[in-house]
Amino acid sequence: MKSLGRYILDRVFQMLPILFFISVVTFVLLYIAPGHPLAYYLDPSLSPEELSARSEALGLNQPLYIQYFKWVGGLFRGNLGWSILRGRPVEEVIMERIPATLLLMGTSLIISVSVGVLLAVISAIRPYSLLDSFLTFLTFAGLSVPGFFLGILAIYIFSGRLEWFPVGGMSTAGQDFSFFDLLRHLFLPSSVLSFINICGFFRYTRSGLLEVMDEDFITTARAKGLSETAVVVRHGLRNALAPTVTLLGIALPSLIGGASVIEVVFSWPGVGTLMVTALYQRDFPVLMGCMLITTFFTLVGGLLADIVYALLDPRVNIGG
Amino acid sequence: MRLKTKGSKRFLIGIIFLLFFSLVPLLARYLSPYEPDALDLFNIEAPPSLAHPLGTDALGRDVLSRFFYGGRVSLLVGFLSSLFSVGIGTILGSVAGYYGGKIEIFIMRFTDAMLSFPTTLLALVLSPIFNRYLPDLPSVWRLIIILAGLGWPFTCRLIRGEVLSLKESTFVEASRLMGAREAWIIRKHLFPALLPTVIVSVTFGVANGILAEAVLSYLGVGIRPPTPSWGGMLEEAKDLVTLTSMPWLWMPPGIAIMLVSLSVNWLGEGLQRRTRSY
Repeated sequence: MKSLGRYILDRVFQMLPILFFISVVTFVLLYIAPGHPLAYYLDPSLSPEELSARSEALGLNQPLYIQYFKWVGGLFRGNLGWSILRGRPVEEVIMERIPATLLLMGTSLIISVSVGVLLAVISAIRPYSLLDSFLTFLTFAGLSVPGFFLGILAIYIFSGRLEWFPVGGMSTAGQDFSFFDLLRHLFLPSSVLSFINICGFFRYTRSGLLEVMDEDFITTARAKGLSETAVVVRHGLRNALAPTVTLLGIALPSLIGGASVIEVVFSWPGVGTLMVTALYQRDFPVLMGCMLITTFFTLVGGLLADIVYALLDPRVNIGG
Repeated sequence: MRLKTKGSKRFLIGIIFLLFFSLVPLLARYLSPYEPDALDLFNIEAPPSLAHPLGTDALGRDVLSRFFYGGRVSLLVGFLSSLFSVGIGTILGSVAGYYGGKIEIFIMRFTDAMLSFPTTLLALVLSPIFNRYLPDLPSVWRLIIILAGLGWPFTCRLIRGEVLSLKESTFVEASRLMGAREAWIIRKHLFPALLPTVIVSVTFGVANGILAEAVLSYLGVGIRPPTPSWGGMLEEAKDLVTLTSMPWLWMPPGIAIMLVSLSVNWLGEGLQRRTRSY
């Protein structure tokens, strides 16, 4: 059996061709995207000579592969490009949106993991009972519903009709920052997101638990005379968490990249909204920067999930 | 194929709902009280009434008629994008699984790379690029191509796994030992054995396609006006006044998307249960 460090190294090595592919696709998309970088300088008073000098200064006359390597070199230094529309580096524009997204997505993730796993355990103690059937039905329905429509419905009911919560944004305009105000704004979007995610975590954990409950060591635990709750919680859960961990790994990029549609519905000033605004403004450097970061964290999430998975389950042979 | 198993009721409800929701848009022309783009300038943003059962929009167009015609577009996008993406995925997945070697490594690496892209985001980026190079392509086809182009890796992975285990299965080995030719094995053994997975994938794909249409049209890069679609009708809810005071504009398509996607998923789940025979 190889050491864990070696396993991680191997996995990272396997990721390299994928990273290369992703960088090429992103670069090509940036290159063919509407809105040529020079279009912003197209001042009728500029002579063709001045224009070509600009183009020279931006490195646009060099062969494509040189431009690509320069761009990748920039990525390694944390340089995601330049938003001409905003006149600022892309990484700066994205960085200032990350706290809002982290707050929204982090809150929802913590709520949904804890509630989802808890409900799954309660369900698995008495599988196919009334409660289990009801939760299974509800979560199946929850996963079939478009989340942003739930968001719209929530705004209509709780903000429009009942006027309990603000319709969107992160703070009340013209009011000093207060924690309570932030919570009031956070409540609806994080509830909608949590509901959707709870459905996922519930279904994954429940099916993992039900599968484990057929194993021999569970029969042994039952034969020892342990209560069903103790069997499920102490023996089953630890071994059933693999799919849950996978789901957590999948959720990691959303912590940074946000849930674009839900953020737009609630006008939450996070990375998701930034992406959609950048799309409308045809600010492709910002849009592709967001995509690159999200994709990178998707890969990292998958890697982390595999590592935790290997640590959690002694049957997974990391030498494999 | 067993017909009676657990969850039969949901399976049936799924079929009935789906039949209903596919019949209504198919008969849109006969059911709609008005043309979907007919303007009634004396009744702008009118709430539901006898003349307009679901009210009218900002241009005085009848919402019920647009709902019927919009359903046609949404279901078409869902069905075709699913059919195409499952088709591509099935071909690539079975080639990778059956032939193995370098082809397999190449296809699977490509699939993995595609899977690491955030699908919705990539669709957002691709729409304006398609628009630039193919400005005459109708938005319905643009959306179908983008969704199919991004959706196939899921099926590809699934089918490859299935083919790998089928290749090693006893019945394939037996016919190989009896001297069956490659083409015969593929036609008589692999294809029928893959069919259930393919059908289930298409079913789930329809729901995903309808949801994707809704999301992208809501964000303004899916189906473009004047073509009505359920997602496009939901875009009206982006306006806060419409959202809070004119629910008749956005609630019917939203609820329809919910019910269709739920029934398609029930159908898929039921099919999955019934065909898991080997």
